[in-house]
Amino acid sequence: MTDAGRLPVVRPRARPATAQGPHDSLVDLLDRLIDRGVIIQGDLVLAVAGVDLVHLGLRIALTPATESIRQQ
Amino acid sequence: MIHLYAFVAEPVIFDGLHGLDGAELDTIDCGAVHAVVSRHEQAVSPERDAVLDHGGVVEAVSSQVPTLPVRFGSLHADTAALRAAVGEQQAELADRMQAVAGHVEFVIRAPVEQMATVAPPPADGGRGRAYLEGRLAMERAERAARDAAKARLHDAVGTLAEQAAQAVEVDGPRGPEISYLVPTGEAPAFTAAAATICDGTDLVVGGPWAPYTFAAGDPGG
Repeated sequence: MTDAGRLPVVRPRARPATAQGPHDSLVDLLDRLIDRGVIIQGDLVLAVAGVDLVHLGLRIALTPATESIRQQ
Repeated sequence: MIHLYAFVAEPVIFDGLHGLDGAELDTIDCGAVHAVVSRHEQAVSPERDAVLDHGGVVEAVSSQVPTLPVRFGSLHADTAALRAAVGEQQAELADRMQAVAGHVEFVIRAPVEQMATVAPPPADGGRGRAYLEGRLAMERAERAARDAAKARLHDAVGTLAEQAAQAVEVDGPRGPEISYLVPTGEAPAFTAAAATICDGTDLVVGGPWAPYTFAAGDPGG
């Protein structure tokens, strides 16, 4: 049984500074959140015929958002 | 449905930190690593704020315990499905976590503007030759802009990579960029050095962030 009293405690932190900073930097952060980081094989649970609908939907939703950030 | 944020080395207690849509955060034992997750009735809408909230969880966790960031959009049906997906990768994930633990990521990018200065091909496609010449001119102009941006970037950053544990160059959609993996304790000095380099230029500095670019093992690949 794990001793919960000895487990690390994680508390909220302010959002990455760039999330409230220069818009171009926010775009770079968004790029990382959706294009980088570990991918776990088998995470394509919402897929049909090999097309990853989760990521596909994400792309569609994010394109106008990031473009609007750049245009502000 | 389980939304996956990151992997950590051991279970953690979340005190006041919540996941997407305010969901409770939890850790799931996946063997050599523990997954940071939240549970949802259905897939979270992939909007900008949701992506940033995902990033907020990753940043909070990675700033306090060794963490391997996971790309937004990793969904699993349940605990068993997640454990099965992690499966034989758990040892490799633990190794990667050790490699990036105690580090943050910065980026310096040379923006490449869209090729608005070159006349686009006729909207109706035009005659075949005119269309192809138009496309060729656009591609040449974009290549020249990217080459110039890359040279500008290299000239500016100089030996900055010597202050990083690792640096990788990526020709990204918004222009060439160099990502730096920097020990957390040296982040303030790196921030100052990067600001000095980019001051008065069009170069964009980002970070410090969790080491997304270096989490996947082969960031240049």
